[in-house]
Formats: sequence, C-alpha cells, structure tokens
Amino acid sequence: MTVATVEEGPSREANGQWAVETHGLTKRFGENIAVNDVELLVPPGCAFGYLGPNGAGKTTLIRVLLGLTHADAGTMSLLGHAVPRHRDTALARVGAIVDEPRFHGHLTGRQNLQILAAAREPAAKGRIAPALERVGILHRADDKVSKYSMGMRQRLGVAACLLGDPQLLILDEPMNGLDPAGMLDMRDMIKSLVSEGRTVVLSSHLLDEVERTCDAVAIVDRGTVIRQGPISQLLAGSSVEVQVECSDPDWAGRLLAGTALGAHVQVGPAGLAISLPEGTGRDAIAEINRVLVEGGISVYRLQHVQASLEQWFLSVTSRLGGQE
Amino acid sequence: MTKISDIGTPVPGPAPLPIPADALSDHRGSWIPTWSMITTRFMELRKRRGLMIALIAVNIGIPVVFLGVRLITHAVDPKSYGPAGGYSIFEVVVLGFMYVFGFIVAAVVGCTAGSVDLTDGMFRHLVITGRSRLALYLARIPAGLAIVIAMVAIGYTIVCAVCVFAAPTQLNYDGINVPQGLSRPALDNWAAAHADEVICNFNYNGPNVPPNVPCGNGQISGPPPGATVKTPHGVVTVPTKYTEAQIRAFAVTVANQDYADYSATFLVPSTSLMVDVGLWIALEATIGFIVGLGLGSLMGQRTVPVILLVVLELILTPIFSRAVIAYMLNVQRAIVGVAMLHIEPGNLSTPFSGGGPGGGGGGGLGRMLLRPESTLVASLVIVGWLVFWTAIGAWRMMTRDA
Repeated sequence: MTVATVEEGPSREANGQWAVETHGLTKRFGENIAVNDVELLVPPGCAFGYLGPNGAGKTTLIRVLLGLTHADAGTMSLLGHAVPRHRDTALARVGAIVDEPRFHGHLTGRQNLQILAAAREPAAKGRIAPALERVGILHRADDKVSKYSMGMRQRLGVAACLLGDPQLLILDEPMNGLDPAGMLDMRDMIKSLVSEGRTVVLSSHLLDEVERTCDAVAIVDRGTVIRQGPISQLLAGSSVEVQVECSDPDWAGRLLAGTALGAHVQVGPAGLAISLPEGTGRDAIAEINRVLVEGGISVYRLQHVQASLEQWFLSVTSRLGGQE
Repeated sequence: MTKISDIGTPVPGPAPLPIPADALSDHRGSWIPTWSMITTRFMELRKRRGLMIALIAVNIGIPVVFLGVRLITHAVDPKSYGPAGGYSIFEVVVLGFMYVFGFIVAAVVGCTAGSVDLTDGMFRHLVITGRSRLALYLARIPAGLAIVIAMVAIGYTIVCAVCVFAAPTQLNYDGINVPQGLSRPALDNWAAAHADEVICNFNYNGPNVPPNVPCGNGQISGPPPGATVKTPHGVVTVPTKYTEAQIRAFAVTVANQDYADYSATFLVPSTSLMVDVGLWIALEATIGFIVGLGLGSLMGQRTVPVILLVVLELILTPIFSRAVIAYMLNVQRAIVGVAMLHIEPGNLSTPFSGGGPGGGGGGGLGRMLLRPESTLVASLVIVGWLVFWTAIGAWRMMTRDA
C-alpha cells in the first residue's frame, strides 16, 4: 500500500473564502480507507451538513480536520489557516464536539469548562458563565457531570465549544441523546449561531434534521464525498413527483402514458404516483389535470410532492450502489 | 434522556469577533504550560476523593495512628510500653512505611494524572483547543507534585515532631537503658559496671562461652555449669562458678563488639538527618509520581501501570537490592530503587533489610548487601529514570490519536 505524505498548503491569513477547505484528503486504517480523496469546501457563515450513513467516515474526517489524528494525504485549512502547520492558530477560533461528549465525571460542569478555558486564551475564562447560560444549563453548572443526562452533556459540549468564541463550530452528531424538545433547542441554537455570522458544520445521519438545520450539505458514502452544495440546488435537480387520486386510476395511467410529458406512472391503491423528468416546470402539473379531466376522469386530489433530502439522498446512494 | 425541566431556554449569544490578537499570540503552540493549566490540573486531581483519601491515609493517617497508639499506650503504662518517639521509631516509620508506600501512592497519583484525560474523554477536548500537547503533559507534573509532596511533607513533619518531642530520655539499646554518646572506653567501663545486664542482653557473636549470670525470672546466661560445649578452641567444660573479674572482662568484650552498632544508635534523629531523610523520601515520592505519569500516559490506563510499579517497588527492588546475580549486576544497578538506597542519608538501615535499628544491623547489614555503586552513578540512574519516563509519557501524549 502506498502511503502518501501530507502536503501542506501555503500559510494563508484568514481570508473568509472558505471556512473549511480540503483537497485530496485521505485517511486510511490499514486497508480500510475511511476518508477517500475528499474535496470539501464549506462556505463561511452558514450551517453545513456533512451527511452520510453510519460508517461513512464522517467522524474520521472531523478528527483529521481537528488534528486528533493525522491524514495520510491531502491538504486542508480551517478558517484560512493551513493545518496541521498552523493548527494552533486555526483552532484558536474553532469549537468542536467529536463523538459523544465526555467530561470528568467527578467535577462539575463549570469546573470542566475551567480546565478547557485554561488551555485557551485568558479571555476564555470569562466566557464560561455566558456559555453555560446560552446552552441552558447554568442552573446545573455546579452539579457533578456524573449526574448529567446525555442531553446535558451534549449541551455542555456545545458550551465547551463556545469558550473560544468560535468562528467555526464542528459538531459531530449533535442531536444524539436529545429528546424532541432538546433537538428543537439545539436546532434553534445552531440557527442563532449562524445568524451571528459563525459557521457551523454538523455531521449527521439524521437527514430530516440536516434538512431543517442546514443551508448546504455534502453527502458522503464510504469515505467519499459524492455530492455537495446548497440543499435547494441539490433538490432542484431531482425529478418532480405528483400524486393523483381519481375515479379510474388504470384509465388515467394509460391516458398519461400516451402524452408527451415523459411521465413515469405507477398505479397503486392510493391512486397514481407520477414521476416527471428533472427540470419539468409547473405547467406540466396543469397539463396532467387537463388530460385527466378531458378524458372524463374525476380528479379528487392532485398534489405536487416536494422532494425531500431523504428521498434525494436515497436515490443518490442507491444509484451509486447500483453502479457497483 | 434530557428532561425539559433540566434545561432552560437557550438565549442568543454575542456576535463573533474576528480572531483577536491575544488568541493569535497566546503562545498556544508553546511547550510551556500556563499557570492556569497547572492550577486547573491541580484542582482536577485534588477533587478525586478516593485518590486523596488513599494519599492522606498512607502519608498522614497511618503514621499518625501508629504514633498515636504508642503515645497513648506509653501514657497509660510507661513500664510496659516504651516512648512513642525516638530514633528507632523514626527509622521504623520512615523506612518501614513512608518510603515504600509513599512511592506506591505517588505512583498511583502519577498513573491517574497520566491517564484520566483519556479514560474520561477529556483528552479530545483539550487537543481541540490547539494547545501544545507537550504543554498539556508538562502541566501535570507541577500539579501532581504539589499534591504528592505536600502530603509527604505533612506526614513527615508529624513523624519528626513526635519522634523528637516524645523521645525516650535514656537510650534503649538491646532492651536495656544505656547512656547515650559514650566513647568506646566509656562504654567498656559502663559494661564492666553492668556486666550481668550486658551479658544477658547484648548481642554476642564470638568463640567464647558466655559465663553464667542471673538474667531474671530464674534464667541464666550461657550453658549450664558443668556442661560440655564444643568451641573453636576445642571441647570445654563450663565452670561451675566464674569470678567477678571474668564476668566483667566478658562484658567488656561484648560491649566492644557491639560498639559500632551502639554508636549508630541515638535517642532522637538529628536535625540534619531529618532534613536529609525528608528530602530523600520526597525524591522517592517524586520518582514514583513521574514514573507513574509516564507509564500511565504510555499505556493510556491506570490499573496495569499501578500493578507494574507495585511489583517494581515491593518485589523487584528488594530482590535486586539484596540478591547477587553476577550476570545482571548492571541491571541491578539500573533499578531506581536500588540507586535510591545508595544515596540513603545517614547510617540508617535500608528499607528492605527489615527496618528498625536491629533490622539491618544499624544499616550495616542492609548496606553490605547492596552491590557497590558510586553516588554519581546512583544519581545518574535516578536522573535517567526521571528524564526517560517524562520523555516517554510526553512522546505518547504528542503522538496519540485523540
């Protein structure tokens, strides 16, 4: 096996072009390639989802970015600073949670943050109370962490991220262990962080959460980024789905198959599921209605189904799976 | 699962600032730990209740209990129980206990300091701050030593105070009260005047047959009158009666033989000896901590390193300090515990020779068992151990995947 050395990019001052930038980033564990030639560009000031199934290499990429483990090949920079060469400067304004956040159980939440603040700049000590207040656990700050629930430890992890007044937050599966109310709070917190101009990169396998929280995503599968970009752009390229409930579904299917719409029609017990080609405009939906009505079919319901990130993700990954 | 009642509503935070100058120039990449890093590390260790209880129990609790019981029993029944303090008690407590177990407890603290960030999951948080991993490692040394040395100092101060202020007024040598600080002729004179006590109590290791003198409770010294005894000079018959002159002469012979041991026995430890021994056991505790820290960091856990260091201190060091293994002499000399015995202050018995004034023959036997090694070599071995384990621990900390 050939193991390439990490080539570091030239040292650059933060220019705000990309919050995270990687080129050809690769990490191997023996024969297993956990991160495979990843080209990732995360724009600043947005919530960016790093999306993939379990074992796709999400956490490994984050660990490499943060210098928790070394890369085997490729270049990377955080906030414009090449790492690992300028790792200390880059991480000065980066906060991160990797895997399940764990702390010294015999210490209180505040004391744990004191230890972490001591490793940062002097001003970090003054951010402990505001950070605890922001994540909503200030009233439990002087309880031992061993008495914290999983969700509270997750929040303490976010508070630890905020100690450095970060411009970039990297959160690995931040919704893990949170109840619905906790997930809502976390989502609001991420949005508020982004609204302050910070960049939030969150990895998750929860497609719905990423869709609700993030502006842009990268889809990773088996260590490789297969798509990335704003969610709206990614979804815009997917096919148009229309569901129809009518009086004679079989006849309706035959009528639509005979049109020039290029529709793929499936007849089911709930009615028709019509799939129109990518880029089809809204007029096609009106055309479907006109064909059915002129054919003497009573239309009870006609609904344009907005493609979800989950559907798109599954279609993308299944296509890839089919190519193998 | 997080309960809603546990958590307040998140509030908006301040807008992010550009990377300020203090964050860019806070020497985050420097290997020198900051004062805050040391104090928070100190706090982290100090808050470990079980560890602190063990540390206090070994360094303070057990010596205090031992000396307290002696103080009480002596106060209640001074004829049956000797004074709580004195030179011999100092030797017993310091060498028989504080030295050996002080090392072990310090090693436990070191192993804990070297591994808890990993086992508790904090190592990752610390690395993400961008702080130099070497600085993170080095911050543990002053923090841990501040705890270990403080405990040793408190316990040792109590021991010294009791040994000085509760010392016997007369020197008790081999079970009888003897004036302290006699010269050899003076001890001979004293022995002649107390011939029966000397013959009955002092150790004698010679070719002659001890004369019969009454030793109390109907017992007599030596073989019974008329008995035949084989000696290096041939078979002799024990006389039925010794003259006073013969008895005094024999007592003087015994006293002469024991003079070296007697002259190394004191009522109280001297101030210089207490200072030297204090520094010596502090160094032993420091070694225990540093080696434990390095080994704990290397192995990433606490249990196995602690077991290894207990084996080193309780099994390997005693063996290598007493046994003669011809083809392993240099290995024996390279054991840090053996090197420490070579720089033991004063003329104390060695910790692994049984302790107490008689255990090592006043230090003579214990030291005679040690393989020859110069103070310079012993010092180099000790420094080598400290540097090696610090380097190993720091290297592992710097290269470990977090």
